[in-house]
Amino acid sequence: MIYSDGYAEGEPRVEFRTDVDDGGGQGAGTGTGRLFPLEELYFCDACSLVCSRYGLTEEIDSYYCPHCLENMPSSEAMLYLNRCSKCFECPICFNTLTITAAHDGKCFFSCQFCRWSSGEIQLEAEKPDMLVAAAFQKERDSPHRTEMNKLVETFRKASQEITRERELQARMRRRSITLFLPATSGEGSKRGSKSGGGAHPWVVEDLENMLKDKKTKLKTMSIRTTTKKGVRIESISLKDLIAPSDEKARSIAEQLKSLDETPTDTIASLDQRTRCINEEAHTLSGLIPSRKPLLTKRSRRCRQCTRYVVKPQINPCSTPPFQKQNIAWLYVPRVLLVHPNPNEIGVGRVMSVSFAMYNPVESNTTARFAADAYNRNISEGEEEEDRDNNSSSSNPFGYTMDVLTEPFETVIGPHNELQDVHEGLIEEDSAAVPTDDNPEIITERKGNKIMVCLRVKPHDDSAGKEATFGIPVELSFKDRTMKEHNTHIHLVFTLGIISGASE
Amino acid sequence: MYVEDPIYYHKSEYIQTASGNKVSRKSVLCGSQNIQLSGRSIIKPGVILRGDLALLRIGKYVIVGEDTVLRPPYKKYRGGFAFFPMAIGDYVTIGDKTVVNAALIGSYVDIGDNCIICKRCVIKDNCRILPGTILPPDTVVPPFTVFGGTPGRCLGELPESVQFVHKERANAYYRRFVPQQKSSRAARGT
Ligand SMILES: [Zn+2]
Ligand SMILES: [Zn+2]
Ligand SMILES: [Zn+2]
Repeated sequence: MIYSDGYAEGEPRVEFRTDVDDGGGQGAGTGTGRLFPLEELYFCDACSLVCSRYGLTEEIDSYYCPHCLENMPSSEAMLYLNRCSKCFECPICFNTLTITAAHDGKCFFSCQFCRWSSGEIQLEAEKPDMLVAAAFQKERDSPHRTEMNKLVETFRKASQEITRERELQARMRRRSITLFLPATSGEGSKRGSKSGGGAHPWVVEDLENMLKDKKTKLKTMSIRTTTKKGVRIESISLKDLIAPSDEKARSIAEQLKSLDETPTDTIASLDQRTRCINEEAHTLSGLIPSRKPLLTKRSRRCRQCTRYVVKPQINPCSTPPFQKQNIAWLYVPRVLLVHPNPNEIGVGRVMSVSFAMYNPVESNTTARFAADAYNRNISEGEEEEDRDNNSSSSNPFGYTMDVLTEPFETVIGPHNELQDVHEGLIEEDSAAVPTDDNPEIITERKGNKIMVCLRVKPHDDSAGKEATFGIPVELSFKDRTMKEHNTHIHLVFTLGIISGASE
Repeated sequence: MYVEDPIYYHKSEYIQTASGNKVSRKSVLCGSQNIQLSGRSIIKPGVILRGDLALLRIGKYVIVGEDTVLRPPYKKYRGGFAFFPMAIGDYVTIGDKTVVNAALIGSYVDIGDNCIICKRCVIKDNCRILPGTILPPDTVVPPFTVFGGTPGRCLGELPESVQFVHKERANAYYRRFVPQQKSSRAARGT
């Protein structure tokens, strides 16, 4: 799971809209794609495509323990149920436990954070490796786990049976077609489509009926339909709780009252119980240390061309950490907003938005801004009536602002590797890029940076909404291998909350 | 992210070394012969660097926030204890009021404000520690993870770009951190 801080409503930011017309994946079907910061985007250099992690397939290359950092292939990880075989977590606070030797020479687990000790649950041993083995055994001995294993085994057998039947069916279908084909082709073209019917033993309808039959049979075999539904939960009204009116209510009320007397400081929290699910412990004393869950190293491939976009090294700590790392950060210009003045964002007010763009590649990048692509009021004359139609067709993303700046094209200078080393020390010469900028739009240019100023205006009915607008940008550049790329990005600007009409 | 204004400091408040380190005059460097700064690092006011306990090696573009303490870790042995060195990589940002007793902090690491990094912790490259986190002794933070909470736990992973993001952040901070111009001082006064 990728950690993200998220944004507050109206927090000024620039994001990239991706995966607008992808067929599958999460969030598909809305047709409006997803928004990501540049940091979370990738670039397939074979397809010249900017996409998010949803536009890529993900596969696990290796597993590793987050504490001892030992990595292992998936077969070994499976064997240990995707947990480390050596590292244990505190059942109380989930900190990694350390093995401590007591004065009498016995080893036990102790938590350096909450001071829990495995002596409390009689988990001690002569030597550290014996202690680990004992903890392992405790996990294995859990009656719930043994019981669960039996269930899993039964269901595994059932599912194997289902797969076997499916394979058989598929084979039958294939064979029936091979049987069927020579029959038709042998008949020649004279009998045409009627050849399948009549005296021939294989009739398409029969086959289809048979398959349909099998399908319904398979359905009844599924685990879901055979489990019982509906767990009844007792309920009681507040009135009955205080003064029970009948016998049933009285018994529930009694039960609830008895809960009051249970000391809460020994009750295990839900979090602690789920970490230690096999024990089904209600109190802290019933919890046992759990082994550290493993993390994964994953590679990502392009959905279009199936080439690697990201390929990590197997060892989680190797430097550099990747064999291939095609992140958008290294190809697509970074956009930094000049913090907008929230007082300027109001219905009916034209405001200017400034942002900087930094070119990350060592060639010029040509950027074509379709600034007015998603404006709502295309024709000023016909108002109200047409508005609804317009907003769905030309503004599918629900933007609340129009861009008044005309579409434009500009070139951003190349990134200079030396800039990183002696930044600020070399004065960039801007001779390589055109100097005929429209000073109203490109307000400044230096090295691989341009400052862009756009004029935008909130829609008339957008008071109280987030101030957003989007601009599709077409980028052309050459990568390190001098391969030319032509790619499309869709910048989404959020400026703040639109205030009501001002006087 | 925004195009950010310069962060001004008064020229007399910082000492700038030949390699570009900016060290606040209000920071305390104990045992300075044991403190190595590789260059272009910023040590803010109130920072305490305990080079007197053991060697303290700090990479380039390391920003140490106000009132933060960097103190080499120790280990107890039979009949005593010994301090051992602390190493910090490049492009590391450490927040304000944080106590660091780690054995190692890799490169491209971001540690928030008000954290306690207990003794002998190992924070690998490309990590993030959220503000207010307490990492108990001997915690290992693997690459590309986010740790937070008390005690600090792995809350998620970071995108593959984190190296560049953290590098750019430390770079940008150093760029923005400039001595106050006389004219701008006058302008601010009005
Ligand atoms: Zn481990
Ligand atoms: Zn604990
Ligand atoms: Zn591709």
